[in-house]
Amino acid sequence: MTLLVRDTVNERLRAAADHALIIQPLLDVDQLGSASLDLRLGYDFLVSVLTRRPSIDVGRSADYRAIGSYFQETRRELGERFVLYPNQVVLTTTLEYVGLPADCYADISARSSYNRLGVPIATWLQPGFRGCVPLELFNHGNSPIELVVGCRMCQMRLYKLEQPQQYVEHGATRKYYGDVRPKVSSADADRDLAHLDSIRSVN
Amino acid sequence: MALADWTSDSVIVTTALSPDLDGGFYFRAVPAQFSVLAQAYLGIQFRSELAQISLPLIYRHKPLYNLPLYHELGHFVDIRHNISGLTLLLNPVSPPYTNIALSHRREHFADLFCACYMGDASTSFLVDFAGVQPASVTHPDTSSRIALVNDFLSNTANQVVNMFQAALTQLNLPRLTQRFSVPTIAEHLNNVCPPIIGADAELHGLLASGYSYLQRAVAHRTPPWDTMPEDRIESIVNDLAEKAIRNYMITTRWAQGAVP
Repeated sequence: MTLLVRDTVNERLRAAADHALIIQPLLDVDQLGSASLDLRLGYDFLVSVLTRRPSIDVGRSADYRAIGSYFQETRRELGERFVLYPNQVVLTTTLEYVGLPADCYADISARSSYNRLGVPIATWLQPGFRGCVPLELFNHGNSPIELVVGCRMCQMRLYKLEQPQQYVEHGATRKYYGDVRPKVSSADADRDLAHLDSIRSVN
Repeated sequence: MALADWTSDSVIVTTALSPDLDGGFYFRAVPAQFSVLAQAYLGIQFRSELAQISLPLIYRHKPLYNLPLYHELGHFVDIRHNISGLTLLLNPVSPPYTNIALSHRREHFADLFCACYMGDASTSFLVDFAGVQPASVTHPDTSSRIALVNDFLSNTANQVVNMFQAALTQLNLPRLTQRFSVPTIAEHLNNVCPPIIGADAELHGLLASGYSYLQRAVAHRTPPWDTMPEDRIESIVNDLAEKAIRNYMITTRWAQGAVP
């Protein structure tokens, strides 16, 4: 596995077909650093809200309530502010739509400036990924933070694999493939849950 | 964006999401008396004309299913400038059929307006969405609507098209003409990536060509759509079209250095 540096990433951005790295839109070439590429905060947000229910049920019990009902959707335009309150989960995405080649995976982390504000980000993208990168924001500090839509909030490091991998294998479907806006957890759609439920019933 | 082709006045368009699919599309002006009353009783002066646009809630994230909005915008432009009303002066219809003729002409104008931005996708969506209908008091029959649009798009001489062009000339408004260009979309969508839009005309063209692409993707199921269920294909292709539109807006604003 090899970390891609600026020249190689640049080549991938210009490459055709299977080897291409897609970043749309790439607003500023300065987003590309020596061994990373800055990504911007997107414009759609799902904000967690308190409800009368004591908990979110991912097991689909008899009085199940959809996970989406625990979140409120809101949108800001480029340059507008979004206030991230302490102890609140906010789902969003990067501004950029990212397409990874089949022979690369990517680590996504917060830029140091945002880590220092108490807003860490840590996720990764599988080879062949398509979509705006999902970001789960949480303010660990004591003060609300006014984030600016379009700010460079996280960075992507690309690694080349020895063997290409297929993100969408034949006959399979991916839950978050091609997403352009944040989506709530699909944990309640995991197939194992029904099996685990049946085990509980037997016991 | 399309409205800017027809007026230089400032118009604020508010969006409504209708729970109904039938009748969910409309585009209407807010009565001028509202501004007059707001000024008289509240001292508030509106610097922009208000208009309301509505689309069905279930199409909120499906731009390729919102082609009828161009038709509704055509109604808004027509009524605002009384274009069909003028045609009744230029090409009168005897009572008691005047009101029926006015309704039918308004539909024909909206169809032609939509075709300026959508091409033949305007009529194919009409059939997909509403089916082939006979003439009614309010609407001409679907076949004659399609025939009119086909004549317009193929530059075949047509009295109805000529009638509207004459009225538009009298009103110093732009002529009915093709106002879209088709961007390259297949290579991007086949790669599950948003198409890249380079100009306003391509933005209009994206919706028409995207709708055609979606129909082909669902019908033929070639890669990468061969293993996906139909609703997933609909969702992803619509999302990619929406992202293409947003990317165009973002890059334009970024270049202008403008904050909305």
